[in-house]
Amino acid sequence: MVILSRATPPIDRARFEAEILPHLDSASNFARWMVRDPGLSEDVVQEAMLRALTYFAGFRGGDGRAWLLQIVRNTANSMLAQRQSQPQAASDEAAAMNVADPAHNPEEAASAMQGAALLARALAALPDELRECLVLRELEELSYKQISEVVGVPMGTVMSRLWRARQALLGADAGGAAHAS
Amino acid sequence: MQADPCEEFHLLIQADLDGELTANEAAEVAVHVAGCPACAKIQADLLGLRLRLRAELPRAAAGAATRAAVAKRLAAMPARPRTGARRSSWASFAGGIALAASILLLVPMVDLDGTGRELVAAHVQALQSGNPVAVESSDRHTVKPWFDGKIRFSPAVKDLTQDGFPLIGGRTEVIGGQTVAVMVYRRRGHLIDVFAWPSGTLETWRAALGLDGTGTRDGFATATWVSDGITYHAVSSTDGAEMVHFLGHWWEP
Ligand SMILES: [Zn+2]
Repeated sequence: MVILSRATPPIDRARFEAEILPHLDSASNFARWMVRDPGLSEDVVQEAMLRALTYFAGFRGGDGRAWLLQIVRNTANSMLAQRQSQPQAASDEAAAMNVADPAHNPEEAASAMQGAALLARALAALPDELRECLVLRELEELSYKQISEVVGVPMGTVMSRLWRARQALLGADAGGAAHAS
Repeated sequence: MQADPCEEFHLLIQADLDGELTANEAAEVAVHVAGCPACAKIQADLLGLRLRLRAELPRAAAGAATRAAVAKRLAAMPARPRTGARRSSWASFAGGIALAASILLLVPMVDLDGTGRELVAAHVQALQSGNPVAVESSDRHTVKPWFDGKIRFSPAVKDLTQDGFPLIGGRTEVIGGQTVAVMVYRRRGHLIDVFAWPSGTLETWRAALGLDGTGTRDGFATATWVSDGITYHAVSSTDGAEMVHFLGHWWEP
């Protein structure tokens, strides 16, 4: 063991607080859906923020949210790869995700909870490359261009992944009420 | 599955929903959907799915622990004022380091420990040999190409003359069986050897976690950092404060 002090490049803290920090919630939400494990996703976000601080000197401005989410994605993938060999509690993935709060009427609440839980499970069960695109579009409301930046694929690929993700969820429809019509 | 005459409209309907179409394209979609029940259903399904996703899967906010960790880390960061003069950036960087140094970390060095010893030994040997550089130049455009063909990676060679750390040249060393690049800078009477090699996973993790840092080994000031997939390790007989200055300038864009 050796004692080291931390050394990181000097950064413009005010700029980091203005351009990156506001996207912390986005980072958290994206991380949760990427790793599907609340404990691990917390680690991923902390780690990603540390990386963001480390790399911020190289951030040339532009879309801070896409920049941060890209770091979150890389961090999640590397941490998932490190855990690859360890057993996962896959069956609890969906249950671990927060679903909607119960409504006022207990029966409606039970039904709504079930619907939300099924939806969460269906989303969690999507292949990674489809899920990340859909979460970025529907939950984070990123544009195709931003998603293309975060995921590192052409916009045409983003479009086809979104289409497949949506069709998969509409087809999953296990709990009924695929759409509220 | 049979060919769907409306298939070309599917991605357009989706893009319309996603706000990615021009007004003209959106109008085209609207005209088609108005006269095509199948596409109207697709549009309704996509919209219904969106409403459910946004209503039933509320976004997870960052946890309190994460917020606290980030705030703490940020407060301990060396800040560089946006319009500050170079001298003041030195001062704040050094101040940040001093602040950060109060958080000492116990880091398992694994094999990096042995490497660190080798690097110090290489620095000492280069000093004793009287030939600390194989290519002698203060021009980074001379030093950088000299490495071509000797190593397969591309280390940063910086011109820090104005900052008081003139480049004097470069050489290669074999450390742990691999050829590493050495950029040699001077600080007053001292040489600073900056060894560089492609980062391994472990080092990248250490850097990402903020575990790289400055320190001393066998009486020499050292610093380790990772940038663009390359690990740098500086060794010098100069003191720790100078090493911190050096690191601050190295990182300046
Ligand atoms: Zn149609």
